[in-house]
Amino acid sequence: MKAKDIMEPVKEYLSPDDTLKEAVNKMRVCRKDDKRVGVKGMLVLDKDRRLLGILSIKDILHTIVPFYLSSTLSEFTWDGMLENMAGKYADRLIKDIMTKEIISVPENAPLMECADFVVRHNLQRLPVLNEQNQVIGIIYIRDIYYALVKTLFDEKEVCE
Amino acid sequence: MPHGTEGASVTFVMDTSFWTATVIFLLAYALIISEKVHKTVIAIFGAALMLVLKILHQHEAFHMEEYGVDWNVIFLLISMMVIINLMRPTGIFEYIAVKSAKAGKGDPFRIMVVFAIVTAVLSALLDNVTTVLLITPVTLLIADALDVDPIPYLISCALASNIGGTATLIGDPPNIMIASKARLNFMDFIYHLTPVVLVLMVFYILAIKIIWGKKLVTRDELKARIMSMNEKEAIKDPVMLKKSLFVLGVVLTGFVFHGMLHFQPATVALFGAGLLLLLSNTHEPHHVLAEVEWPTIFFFMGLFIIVGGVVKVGLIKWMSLEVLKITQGNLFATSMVVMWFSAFASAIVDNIPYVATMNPLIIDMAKQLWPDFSGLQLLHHVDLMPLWWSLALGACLGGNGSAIGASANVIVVGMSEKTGKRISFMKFVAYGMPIMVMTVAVSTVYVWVRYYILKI
Repeated sequence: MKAKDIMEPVKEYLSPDDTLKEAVNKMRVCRKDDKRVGVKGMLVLDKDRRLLGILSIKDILHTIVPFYLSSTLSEFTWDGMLENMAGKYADRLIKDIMTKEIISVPENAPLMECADFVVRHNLQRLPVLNEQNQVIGIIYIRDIYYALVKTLFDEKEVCE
Repeated sequence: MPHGTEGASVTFVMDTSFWTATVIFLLAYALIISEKVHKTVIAIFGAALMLVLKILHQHEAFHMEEYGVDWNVIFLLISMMVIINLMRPTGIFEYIAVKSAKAGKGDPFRIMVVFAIVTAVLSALLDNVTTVLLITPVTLLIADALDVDPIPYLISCALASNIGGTATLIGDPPNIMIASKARLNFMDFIYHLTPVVLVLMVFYILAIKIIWGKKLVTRDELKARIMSMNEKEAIKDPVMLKKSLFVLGVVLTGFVFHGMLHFQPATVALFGAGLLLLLSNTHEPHHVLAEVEWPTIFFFMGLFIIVGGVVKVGLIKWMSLEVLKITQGNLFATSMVVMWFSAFASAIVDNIPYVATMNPLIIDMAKQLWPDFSGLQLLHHVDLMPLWWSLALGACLGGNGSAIGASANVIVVGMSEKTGKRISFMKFVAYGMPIMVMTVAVSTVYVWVRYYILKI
């Protein structure tokens, strides 16, 4: 199997000019099939569906934790500081806070390549690109795992 | 050769090597100012050119005080950096900063004053860059806690650190360089510069009172955030803290007595660094040493060699003759020119290359004025001393004149960028330049009264 065989389609994504608040809303109401699920990260694409970055909830938290806090200063924070900072940074643009160095795979990448990237770089998701460098899907760590499950047990066994 | 005839000791000619060295020197300066290439890269490459083009022999560059690397400066800097790198993780600096904020009772302006004083004192005893790097994070935290604009605190931190650093031999790189070339000791600086810096700090606090006093206000409930902070939580390693304070005590005592004991300051600092490394029981000196600011160290080394080249070919001597022509040998006029020119030059150029150039220039000037003197007699000639102090005051205080005048300024501008409210070059100048002019004006009066009227 190849990347394109297990990838999921990318229906919703973020624009680089969205604000943090807009992004949080899109991620909160993201739909999968017909259910509202919410996601822990979303791709950031341009008009031509080219990959610009990924915004994860960790990137969002990273944005609102002030850079000046260090291991020696985190004790000196106060109740309500996180809420204040969330308000203060709500208008930051996604292009300024997203993770820009993204590892992606071509649509014909073997699953082992996908698994290797996920393990080696501690990734949760891998965008899948076509030859024009457009995003055509996304593979989550669980998708690769399910492929492995299917190899060890045939369909019937899985059902049981 | 109109300049070849003045003074008995003039023996240079404007030949090919004169012009080669001069071009390397001027190009290096221009590139450093343009910031197109990293200054350390320019310094290393320029130094290498001086050697490859045989302006200097390697032996002169590596082993001769007159033309080469001043190892006293290099080892003093490295050793102090090692001591501070070992002290940093103990949390002592955060402890001091939080304690200061509490001493200001949570009032935004009082905190600014306390921070200015603490920053000045720490800059005098450690170095400006470290002080600013350690104090600004706490400053930003406090500003957020009080919901006030952090920018005035950042600017004040840089300005106060440049003023404070002027006070001692180890406070600011220009002083370290001057001390080494002029063979002045720690107590000379305490005796001649610390008094004026104390006066300058009073003026500085009055100035920030006028500039920011009324603008910084907060609500009472926010002050409680500061007062509820427990500074003791900052201390991460009490055992190492005790060791560090002990060694710092030894080093500072060593500085006080180094003149009497006939040790160079670098010896004292190196002993401190070695002792603290030993006491820290570290099995990994690698990361402590890796944190030494090697780009700065190599910047110094490269510059010493570049300046050594132009000293050898006689450019500096020619410049010193020109200065003497302008001031007609009047030493009061010379020291005023040195102070004010140094201030504006340091605002524009990094003050390290500037002082590296001025040191030999002043020595050459002294040789013209007193051809019969040499060694300490020449360097410490009673009429020459005010020139050293004028150079130190001008070069250190001039750092406040612009956003690139001193490393501390570059750091706070970088910090402001990260907060999302960048201090523009002109914004820094709007505060820094008046403060620079004020402090240099006060220093002018000080030098004039102390050395030319009271003569003490």
